Amino acid sequence: MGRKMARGEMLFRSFALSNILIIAIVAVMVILLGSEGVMIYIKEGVSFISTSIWSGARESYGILFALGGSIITSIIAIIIALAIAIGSAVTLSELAPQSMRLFLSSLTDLSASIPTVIYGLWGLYILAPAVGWITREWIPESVRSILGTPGSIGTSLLTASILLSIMISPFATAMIREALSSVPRSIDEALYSLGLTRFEVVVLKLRYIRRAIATAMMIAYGRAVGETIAVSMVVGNVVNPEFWRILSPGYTISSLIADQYQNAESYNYMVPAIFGAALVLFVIGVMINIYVTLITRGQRL
Amino acid sequence: MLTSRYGDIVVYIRMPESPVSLNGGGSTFVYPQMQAWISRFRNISESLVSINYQGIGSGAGEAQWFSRVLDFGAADVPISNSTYSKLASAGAGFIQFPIIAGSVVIIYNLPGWDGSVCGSLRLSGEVLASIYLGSIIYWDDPRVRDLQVDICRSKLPHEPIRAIHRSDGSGTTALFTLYLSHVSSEWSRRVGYGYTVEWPRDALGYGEGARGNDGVAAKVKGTAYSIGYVEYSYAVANKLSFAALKNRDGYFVLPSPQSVSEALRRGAQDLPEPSQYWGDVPRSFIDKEGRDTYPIVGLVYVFIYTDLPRDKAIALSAFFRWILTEGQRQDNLVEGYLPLPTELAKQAIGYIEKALKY
Repeated sequence: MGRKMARGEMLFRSFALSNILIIAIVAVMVILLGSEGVMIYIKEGVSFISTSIWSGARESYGILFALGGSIITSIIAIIIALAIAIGSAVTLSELAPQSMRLFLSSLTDLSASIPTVIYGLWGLYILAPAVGWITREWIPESVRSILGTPGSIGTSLLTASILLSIMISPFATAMIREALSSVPRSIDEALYSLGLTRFEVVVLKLRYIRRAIATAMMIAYGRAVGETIAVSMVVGNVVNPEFWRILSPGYTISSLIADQYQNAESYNYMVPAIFGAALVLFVIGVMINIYVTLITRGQRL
Repeated sequence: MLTSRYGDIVVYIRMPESPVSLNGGGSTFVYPQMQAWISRFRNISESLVSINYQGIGSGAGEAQWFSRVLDFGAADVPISNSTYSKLASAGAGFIQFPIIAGSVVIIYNLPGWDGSVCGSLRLSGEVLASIYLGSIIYWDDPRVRDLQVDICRSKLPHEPIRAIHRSDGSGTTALFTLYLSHVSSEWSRRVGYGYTVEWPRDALGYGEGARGNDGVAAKVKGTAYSIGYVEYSYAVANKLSFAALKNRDGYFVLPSPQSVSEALRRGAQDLPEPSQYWGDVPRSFIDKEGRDTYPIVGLVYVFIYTDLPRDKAIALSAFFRWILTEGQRQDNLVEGYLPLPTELAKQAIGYIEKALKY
């Protein structure tokens, strides 16, 4: 009996070890990104993140266009995904008939497990042409002169954002749904006993789980900003310095890296530029993470 | 001893005594052809020589070969300047030689253009450069119009040309931009050439990138009034129609095995010594004179060290000398890949035989 306990204890401690391992891997990754990328920071200085150029032929690299594209597509995607995810999570855990819930939940979970390249194909053949058509037919010229015009088959930063939001919302839905259903039954009953309407109860419960929602959005951001192949298929792959013109084609850092790493070693500075871009993306992720943690810390109902 | 012939070339190939396995990698363009050669040669050598080739990209192929991870590297351009100087300062013995040819073709999607009346769209290097630079915007620009046959000049619409290019780094882009640099001083000054370049037309909103040959072809197919460029073998395998290009002597030429081979033959005279810097070699096959010479033609280059263990040297020599002879014959080529003219194959074989002695 005693031996068994000891073994369980050992297993338990090994969990801590695996945690340390994860931290170590991340640390090594940061060191690698920094040491491989340092050359480009020395060469380009601030202009590496403040200009928009990617030219192997001239050994000149500035990633503002891709950085802006990554951030803007992720933010739009998260906003849309948040709306979709909260809506469907509330439906699944509060509104849908009990008999349907399991079925609908597994459908949402299934859509979270579809390979991203399939979303990419759907985006390329259905979403992009739709965005292109809607822009041409419905968006007035005056708006297009500010926000830009999609590329040939409807590829644009907005197309990528919408595709991303569709890709990340099933996962966000699942997380918010789980958080909602983990709200203690007693709180539910207490709220209803106060005479609150169903709507008011749902709003209060959503406030109660806001940290879970924030975490879901953080993970969704990670997926959005790191998504490569699907984005690459619909974003247009154009060095677009005016990345705020979301209806025009653009680039993201992930799709830029995917496009460029194959022949990067033929150039003196392209490999550092790729690592340097990855590090910038990583730092932004960490900053957002810290910010979200700070604003949600200690907040309760 | 195996005898292998190509044209008037005869080589005697000796197989290693015991099984040898080789690792190669690089150019993705040559990958399908390389796989075909490898499996054919495996049979010929009765499984004595087995080769593993990975399409990791030309740049990576060169780097991995340089650090001796790979036994041979293959790339769409010769050894780069930076690697060459490292090789020279290390005093390492190496050779480079071509194994197959490729070409870049211009594809287009031009509604209302009746190919049975007007023939293929006609373009010139200067006009292509002006289009991708953004100084020609519309299809009915006089510079485009004047290239077409008389009766079709009015058929060009007043629509902006959508110019599609590769967004990923590729040998196809390297060859295409080398051609544009060669024919247009403005292109050479503002853009240059390489696996990835800046595309000035993108900034005007009339240009767009796509990933891979298939991405470019799909985008051109899906976009009215567009043009793009793809690898010849890809265009042939997918039965795309392509533009005729005006060559140095003013003839409009379509890409074909003959017109490519003609360009290679004209450029073949002056290959440098295999261990010299080959940076200017690709240029020597671009925009050659002649009646039936296609202007955008390039080679795939293989790099090997000469100080190899005996069994590897024998196997490499056998494999590449077979590629340069029977490997160039139609039944050993994948559809759309273009054989080297015998002049070039002969020089390459000479380099190998001189360098790999055992």
